[in-house]
Amino acid sequence: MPDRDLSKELKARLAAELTSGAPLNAPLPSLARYAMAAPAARPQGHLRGRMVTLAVAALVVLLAAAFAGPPQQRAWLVRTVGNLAGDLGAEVSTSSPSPGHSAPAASSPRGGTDDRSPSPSTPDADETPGAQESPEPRESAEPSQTPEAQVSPEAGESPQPSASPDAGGSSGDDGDHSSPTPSPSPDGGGSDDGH
Amino acid sequence: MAYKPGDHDDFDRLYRACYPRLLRILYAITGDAASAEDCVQEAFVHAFAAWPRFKPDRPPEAWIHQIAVNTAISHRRRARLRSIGEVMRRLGRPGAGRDPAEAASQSDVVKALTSLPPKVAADFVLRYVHGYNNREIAQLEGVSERTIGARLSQAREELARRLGPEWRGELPTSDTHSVVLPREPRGLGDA
Repeated sequence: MPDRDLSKELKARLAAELTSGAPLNAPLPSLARYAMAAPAARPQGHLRGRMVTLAVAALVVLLAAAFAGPPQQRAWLVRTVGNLAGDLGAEVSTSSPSPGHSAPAASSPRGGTDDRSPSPSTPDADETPGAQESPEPRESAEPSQTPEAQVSPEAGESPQPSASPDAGGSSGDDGDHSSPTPSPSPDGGGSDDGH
Repeated sequence: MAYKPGDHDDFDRLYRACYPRLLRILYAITGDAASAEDCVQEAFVHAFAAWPRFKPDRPPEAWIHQIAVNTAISHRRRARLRSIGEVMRRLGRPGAGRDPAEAASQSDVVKALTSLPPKVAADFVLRYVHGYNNREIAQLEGVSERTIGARLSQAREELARRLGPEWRGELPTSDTHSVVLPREPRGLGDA
């Protein structure tokens, strides 16, 4: 098949027809459709990228606070998550963080006395006849008597055993000595009940 | 000069280099200047979206050429479906026919080019308007030179049938002697 060529006149006519039919405006890239559409698409991509970056950063901070931070922050996070789960009705998730949090607190001397104050007081309450009066002095003694908490039972118990065997004047003497002191108010109550 | 995929300035350079050629090719395919410009712009929008993923294993001019021709083919297909729908809707009624202004503005050459298959028309414009040879067109479109030769021959025959025998073309002057010489013995034999 021979490769034929058009004459120069036909080529010129062909080019003139195509050029006049579709006049060529200056092909400015700034006026092209892709250039118009590009700025609208770019900021969306940037915004999306920034939002994703922020979300990932927040997640990393939360995970770092949960697993690598000090135990107080960890406890706070666990408590917060537990509260949230409790609000949603998951009671199992709320019960798991509370002993974990109370166990180290119980090992500390002050927190242990504050939290567990009713449990060691139960023998005192058993010894003392007035079980209803036992919480009242402890509430009043909580801020100041934490160091004296170990002393006050000794001071309170010493008149009571002495009062029970000695039903005579010794108890009255003890009751007279104990009554003016404000701290052994349960003893005073006990002595009143004894009397 | 090499193009860097994803680079905005390089894409602008590609646009400036290819836009005139593509506009004329697509005008020969669609037969309408507005449609041709619309298709070229649409092709560049598609190409710009895919520009960061472009693999430079082939020239970007060939890549954008293929996108543009495919866009024009889709446009022409839609236009034909639309015209068929118009015909079906106007059955039994006096049809308005084609827009007279548009028909008058189209020259016979453009009408004849529009009647060609899109890839044949594109190859015809590349060869006889933009001066590409068959090998370059074959590389641009990723087909064989033989295919390009067949398409150009088909285009010349169709244009010669519509516009006149001069569109059948003439043999190249360099090959004329080698072709004319064998005719002499034939003439002698006839004599």
